[in-house]
Amino acid sequence: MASILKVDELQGITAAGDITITSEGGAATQSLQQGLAKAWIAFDGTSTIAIKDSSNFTSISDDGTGDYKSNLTSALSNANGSATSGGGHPSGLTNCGESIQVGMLSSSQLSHESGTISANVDFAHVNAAVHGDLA
Amino acid sequence: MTSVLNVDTIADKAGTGPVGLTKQSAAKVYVRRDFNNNVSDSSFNIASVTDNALGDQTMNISSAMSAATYSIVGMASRKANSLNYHVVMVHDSADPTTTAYRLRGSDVAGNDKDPEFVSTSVDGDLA
Repeated sequence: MASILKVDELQGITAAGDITITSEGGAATQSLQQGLAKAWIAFDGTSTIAIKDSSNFTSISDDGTGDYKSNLTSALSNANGSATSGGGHPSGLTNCGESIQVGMLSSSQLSHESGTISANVDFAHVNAAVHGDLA
Repeated sequence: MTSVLNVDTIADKAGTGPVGLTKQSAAKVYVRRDFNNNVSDSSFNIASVTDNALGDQTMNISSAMSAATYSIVGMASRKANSLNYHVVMVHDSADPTTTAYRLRGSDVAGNDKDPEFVSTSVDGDLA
């Protein structure tokens, strides 16, 4: 019989922030918290930039063409988090060699750069996800 | 003393929603796709993949997202000849929908290509 545990909050007993889960294959255990994204964002980088959807991001700023910064609500414990990016769809451009990059500037701020092989370009889809430990 | 709960599903107190993971989020979709051989090496919450053309594939999601505003991140590379760098982007001719997102693989000069390793994941809310 399938069982369901109904709760509002999960905490570890040994350490409140550490709950172990069994792997899909059953051969290993892993920290639940470690595998979760601590922040993600999808924003429109064209015209007046705007956050479309996000978790744990408080704001974005437009620093120029294809050049943005974003700020976390709750910071990571350090600036060594893994930030990954995706996106695209620059208006009116095809076969342009698009690329998008992201990096952690600090424990609470990311830098985003979008463009082509030759120039920065504003993208309609600028996405990022951050993994690491929250402070 | 360490304690262990053996259950199949964890839901909110009402039993109808997700447990709150404060400031944290589980990925709703991931897939590692071989564009060149048209196979998925591994995936989660992917129903099927449509091969539209060279460097052009659509990931069809099993359990839909609540809105088309979700975040897609990813990377691409070739199995060999690593000097010929490949990238993967949201396709310039189709915005994501709640049940699908279309990707475009290309080299850095913008020529459509089929990379062997195209990994993407999706963060956002399920419907």
